[in-house]
Amino acid sequence: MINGTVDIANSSRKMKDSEIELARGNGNDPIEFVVGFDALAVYVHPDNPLDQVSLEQLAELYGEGGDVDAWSQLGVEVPGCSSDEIVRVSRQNNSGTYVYFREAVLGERRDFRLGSRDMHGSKDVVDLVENTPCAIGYSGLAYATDHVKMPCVRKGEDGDCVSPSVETAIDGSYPIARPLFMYTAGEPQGAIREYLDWVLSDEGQCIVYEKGYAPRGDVNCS
Amino acid sequence: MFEATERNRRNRKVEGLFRLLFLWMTCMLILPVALILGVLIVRGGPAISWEFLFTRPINNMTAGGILPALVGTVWLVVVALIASVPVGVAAALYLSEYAPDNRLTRAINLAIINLAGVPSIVHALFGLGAFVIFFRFGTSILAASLTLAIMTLPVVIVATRESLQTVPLAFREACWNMGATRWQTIRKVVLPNSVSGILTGVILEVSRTAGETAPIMFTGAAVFMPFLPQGVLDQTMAMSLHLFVISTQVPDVPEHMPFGVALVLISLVLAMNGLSIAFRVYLRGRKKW
Amino acid sequence: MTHAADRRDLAWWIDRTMQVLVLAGGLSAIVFIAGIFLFITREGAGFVFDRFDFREFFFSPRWTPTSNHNPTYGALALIAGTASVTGLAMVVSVPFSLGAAIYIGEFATGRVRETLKVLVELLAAIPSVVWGFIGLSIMNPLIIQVFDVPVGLNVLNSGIILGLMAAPIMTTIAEDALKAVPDGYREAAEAMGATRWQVTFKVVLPAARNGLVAATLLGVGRGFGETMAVLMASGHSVNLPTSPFDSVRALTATIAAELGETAAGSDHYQALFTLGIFLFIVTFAINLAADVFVRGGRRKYRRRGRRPAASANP
Repeated sequence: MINGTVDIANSSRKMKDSEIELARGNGNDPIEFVVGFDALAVYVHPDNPLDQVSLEQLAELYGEGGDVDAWSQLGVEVPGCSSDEIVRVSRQNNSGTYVYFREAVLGERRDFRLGSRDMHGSKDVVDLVENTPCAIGYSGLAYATDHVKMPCVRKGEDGDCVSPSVETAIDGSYPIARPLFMYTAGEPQGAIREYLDWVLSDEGQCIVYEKGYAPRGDVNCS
Repeated sequence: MFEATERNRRNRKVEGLFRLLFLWMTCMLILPVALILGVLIVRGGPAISWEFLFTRPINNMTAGGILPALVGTVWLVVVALIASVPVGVAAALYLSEYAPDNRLTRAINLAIINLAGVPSIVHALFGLGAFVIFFRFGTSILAASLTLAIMTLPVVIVATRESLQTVPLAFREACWNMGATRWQTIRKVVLPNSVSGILTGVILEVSRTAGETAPIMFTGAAVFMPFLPQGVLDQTMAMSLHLFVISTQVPDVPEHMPFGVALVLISLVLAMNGLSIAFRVYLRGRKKW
Repeated sequence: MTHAADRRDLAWWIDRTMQVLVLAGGLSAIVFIAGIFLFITREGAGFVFDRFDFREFFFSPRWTPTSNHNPTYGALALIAGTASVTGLAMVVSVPFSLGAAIYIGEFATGRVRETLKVLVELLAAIPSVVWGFIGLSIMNPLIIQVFDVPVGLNVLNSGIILGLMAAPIMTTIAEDALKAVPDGYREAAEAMGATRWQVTFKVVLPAARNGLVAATLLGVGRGFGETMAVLMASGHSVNLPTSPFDSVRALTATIAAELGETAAGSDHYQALFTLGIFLFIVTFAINLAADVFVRGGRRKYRRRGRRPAASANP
């Protein structure tokens, strides 16, 4: 989109100011549309007894200078993971998922700790966690399968623990949910306008819902 | 006399042991090919059907077939061949028929070795910087194929040069003595006698080109295209990238699908290689001089 | 009958034109290799001149190009990743490749020899993305089961795969080097009562040393530049490895994984091209060194190799 090769670009993160500058420099003025919301679920192996995790624990686990390295520090003993070591699974450093997780969990000024497995796709993350008792990972709720477990996430030590779901993403109670964007180069015209209108219509938003994402507002999907 | 036989016997035993060790080592290199093929056939075989080969992927690539990827790979290979075969044959003709033993020739040879040795991802960066951005082809079959063409150029050059050099010098001398120019000699005598050798090189290049992934990732291959490419400026799906995508990116892909794609890809590549090898053996048996 | 010297008919002009075209074809190889360097430098230049910090690049393991407040471009961990995977690949592959080359070149004969050569060639034909897929779907669970480690995508996995991928070129070049040793050497040793393996170890291998070094270098170059297989099988983790069961991230894999979603012209984009320049220079040096060794090997026989053959034939 920045280089002008496509008409619409999907993104799970906001464009950076520098990227908007680059696009404008190439004669493409990006227009932003929010088309839905996505909850980032935390995934663990199904045998893992971990039921809940706090944002602070996640930050110490994934963040630079963090000191959580072992499952025993989270108060669980994981069957099949004799080393007790937490295998951190993350995403490659320019994916929207990675950037949003950093923003929501680590905060503006903190970076990821190095040494996590930075997978290329969300499916990779889920696959790896599915096969690895020691692993913990994060990824869009839409990528969930029956072979992984999603602990609920709470804010602070005694906040309410909320399970990730489309509903909790819509009502805003789930702490790691993000908007999903589409960007067009300039005000959309013709077929592009029609497509966007369809995506934002009830019909389009119901497809968003069916695929495991949260629609923009209240829609009635039967 | 007795001592000598004792030593002989021991030597023969040691020799047998070494022979076995080296044979085992050779087999350890070859065994994986057989194992991989076996696993792919067993686990990917059930996925293969006419429908799999000749329909489009549906449901976010979790079902349906691989037609656009198959067609895309054919496009990429054909365009790459059109670009690289003339250049490669010309380069080989120069090296085999014209080049004196000087610095320039050594530099050309070194450049060929490096074209083959530069990492494929560096070729990808080059394709992006040169064809996609500088020459403004955009991400397209053209940009991807040209990248592949340059990367596989050494395959054509080396095979062609080898086959040109098997034509005996006496053939050329006979022709020159009749007053023919260098080019007339090449066209009437050298090329006809080596064209089949060149063909084995071209087939080998097809196999190389079809399997490459990194060079086309950023230059022309798309993760998903609902339609078939219409021209060289379109993007396209490709078998190799499709295997990467459905085995790492797409959720809920049934297990047999990536195995099926891998089986089709490897069959394609090995069939081309086998063809090239069979052709070579046949030629060697038929050689008249 | 001397007018042939200055005949300038159609055939003469065609001959001239073709000579120029063919020369252009030959020169194209040089043009392309120079073009590769030029274009990746053009894209990466901004970073190399403005942002590049020698100490950070080579001595810091912090590769955090997308950090909000403090992007760093330390490539040490990536270099260590590439080096560890290539190193393990060589440990696995060099003995087997040389062994195979010795068997094919010195022991096998006739049809067996041809068949083995064809099979080694087929090993080279397997596309790297298929190798990566094998690492991901077959080796990964296997390593977890056999070694009882949490993750099977690691140095071991990608090292074995890379070893198998580099083996064919090493076997082929090494066998060429053995073949280049003149038969006179072998005959002389055999005439003195040496057995086949004595001939191989005491005469042929030392004589072919240069070629064998070249074969190993080309194998290293192959491992260094491999992309897809390493991307899929190494675990992709910025990490200074301490054991073969650690996950690592290679230089090539970093470019492949990050370039797709990086805005053209940004620091991160240019830094990825800088990694490309580094890869180009290193592989160029490796290929150059291999070429020098091959050439050195050949020259030796040209000087010394013909003599014994000539004197054996009075």
